[in-house]
Amino acid sequence: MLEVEGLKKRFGGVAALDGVELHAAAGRIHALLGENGAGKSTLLKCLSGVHRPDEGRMSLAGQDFAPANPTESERAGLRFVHQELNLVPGFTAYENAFVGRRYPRRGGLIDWQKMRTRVMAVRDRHGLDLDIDVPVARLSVAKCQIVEILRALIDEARVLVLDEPTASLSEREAHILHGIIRRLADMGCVVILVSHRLDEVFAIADDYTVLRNGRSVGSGQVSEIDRAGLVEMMAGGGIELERGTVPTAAGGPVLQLSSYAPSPARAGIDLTINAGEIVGLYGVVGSGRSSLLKSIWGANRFSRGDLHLDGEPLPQVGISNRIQAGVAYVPEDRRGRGLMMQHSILDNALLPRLSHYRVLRALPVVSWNWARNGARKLLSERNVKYGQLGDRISTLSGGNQQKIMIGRWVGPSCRLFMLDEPTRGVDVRSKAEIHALCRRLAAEGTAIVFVTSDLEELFGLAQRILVMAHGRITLDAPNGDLSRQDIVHAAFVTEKEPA
Amino acid sequence: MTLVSRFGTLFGLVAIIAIFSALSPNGFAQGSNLINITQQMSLLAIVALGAAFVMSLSEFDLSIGAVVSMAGIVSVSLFGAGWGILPTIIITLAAGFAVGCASGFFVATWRVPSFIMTLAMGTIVGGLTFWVSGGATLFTNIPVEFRDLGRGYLAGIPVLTLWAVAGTVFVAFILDWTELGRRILAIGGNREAARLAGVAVVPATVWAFGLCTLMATLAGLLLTARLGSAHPTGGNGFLLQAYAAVYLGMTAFRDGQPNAAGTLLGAAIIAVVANGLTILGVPNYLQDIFTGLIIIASVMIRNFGRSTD
Repeated sequence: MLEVEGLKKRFGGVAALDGVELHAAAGRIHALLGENGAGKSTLLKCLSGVHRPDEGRMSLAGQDFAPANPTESERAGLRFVHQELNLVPGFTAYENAFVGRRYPRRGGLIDWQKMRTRVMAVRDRHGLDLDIDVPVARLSVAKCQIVEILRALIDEARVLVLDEPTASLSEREAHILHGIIRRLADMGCVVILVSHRLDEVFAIADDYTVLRNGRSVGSGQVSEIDRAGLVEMMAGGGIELERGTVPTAAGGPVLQLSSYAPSPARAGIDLTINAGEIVGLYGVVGSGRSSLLKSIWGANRFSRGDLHLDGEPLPQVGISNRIQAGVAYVPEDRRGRGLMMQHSILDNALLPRLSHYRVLRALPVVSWNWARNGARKLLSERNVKYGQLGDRISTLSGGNQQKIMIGRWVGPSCRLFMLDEPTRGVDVRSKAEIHALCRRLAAEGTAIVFVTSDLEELFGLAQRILVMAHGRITLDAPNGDLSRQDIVHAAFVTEKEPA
Repeated sequence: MTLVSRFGTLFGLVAIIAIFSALSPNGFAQGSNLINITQQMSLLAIVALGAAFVMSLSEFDLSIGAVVSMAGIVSVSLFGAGWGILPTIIITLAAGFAVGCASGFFVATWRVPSFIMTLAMGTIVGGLTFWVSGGATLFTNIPVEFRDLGRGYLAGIPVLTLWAVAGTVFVAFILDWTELGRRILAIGGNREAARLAGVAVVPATVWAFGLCTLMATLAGLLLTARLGSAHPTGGNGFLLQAYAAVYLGMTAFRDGQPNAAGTLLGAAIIAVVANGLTILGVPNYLQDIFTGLIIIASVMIRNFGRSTD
């Protein structure tokens, strides 16, 4: 149905696409795989009419397909659901569904009723669970993703391209979304699924194409390949699948929470995390895991209960006293909450540690010479690929950005390192580097707490696993004792049920 | 960043000067006129340099015009009440600083949009200024020594020009070399990211607004010294031109960030165009149109340069 042959695209001297083949059939889910920078986004942009390929041809249902702009691509029946949400926060789901579309009209004015009815019809036909009358600002990320899909389905779609649709979803939400995607394929749609989650690929995809360095390096049916085969194709060899860590002897307690609640509505939590421990924190979106980390970081306006670090009590709120005490925190949502995307690599790398490079100890004046050297050292230690320190951080790949965000907190005085979804949207190689860093820090005695929605990562990295649901910890056990089912069960206990 | 996008605005200024010099070799291109321009641009430059602080936060302060006026009225009123030069200057600067700090405090803690907050603050300050002055121009009891701060020459250079240079160095130092400046820029880049990285947002915001109106107050004092009088709305015209200068400056040297040297350059462009057109006998309203077009053109050139790299 959708055929891509010999596609080439160069930017300046760099070949982003260097002969890509893609053959996607109607009614099937086609996984598009590859490390960051393999050419997936460029291929998608050729399909969506943002870029025009230099060579090669694309066809749709036997007809030549060469969109000059996104409108043409859309008219041909292609729909794109991007990884980043593109919704107007104050608009409801049905208003968002019509952004950029012709509104239905009556007597020259917008026919709100008709608009709403139409969106509702699409929602119900596809069995989407969504309140379309609430401003999307009040919806969870998972629901927003469903709004994006809903928007793509308002007009008949022939090809639906989903770019990491489940990257920020919990297992259960991802599962619901998989059902939706399957139904769309069954209705005769070509579904192209870009994903970094291999378990997802094996769960729902029929076919796959792997890109590496702008070339298709393999394709076929998912049922005829295994995980190791796919990873090898993506990585070109050299990257081993992560195995669970051997538990090391943990030191004394670093973080102690007693009756600690990050918000007034939540129940108190008792928790102790020890030096040298790598703790994986799992839970569905809204389970309170991110909020707990943020609260420990002192970034919430409220918290209740006691929080001790190395036996010393910490105030309820305030980030600077955490930093003083040796806590570090890497938030989720790199673009929104982590980095200053318009600023230089240098500015971003030094943000929390500028005071390390004072001309004089007592004088808050920056010694740029020293600071630049510090930044260069940080970047090379984290193996970040960059041009110049003054380049915008937005010019780097997601993996390199993430390594900077994490690396800027790495230091000898770090006692507790909290990372919220540290490897989301990060390529396989950077992911392995981030995991290795966590292990090294833990070996040096730092307590590591990381949040992940990826079971593979949870089992691969954590020594001890915590699961949260409804603001409570519903499971706390060593990695080796747990199965997938244990985790999922703990994540989905109902609110009333005792843990 | 390419050479063109880094220094394009500077080339623009040179080109404008070249054009005016060709059109008016005996008027515009005279050395004395060029020195005169540096004097004419200096007050605008100082106000704009202050505005660069809040622009670095990605905020606005719309009270700066009113604060310039206020500084004149407050200082002349104090002179009238028999205060000495130094106490008058200190009290006036403190009052101006306080106005910005108050705006910054509300913006930072209550998340009042700075646009509205400072519009209200400017209105209040304007009202108070009018009240204190009775709506009249004040010009009595201004000491000669005070007036010398805003007129005359030092080593052949107008004193006002030296003030503008000093202001540029001051703002460049704060923004580029101090932790406060880097924090202000970080908050402007991504407030939540800065906060989560441990930047204390409230004090940095209060400082930025305070420094902004402090610079406006300085400009108001110098304006009063130069004119030997103060009018309750005498500084209001600086507001829009100051932001135009900062914006022009954001297109120079730094990739889209407010910066001191660029702001000085922006003020220079506005002053050169005004001076050149006046000498050529072009009416005032056409000057405004030209200034507006230059701002649009510079932004377009910058965005054009960016999309192609």
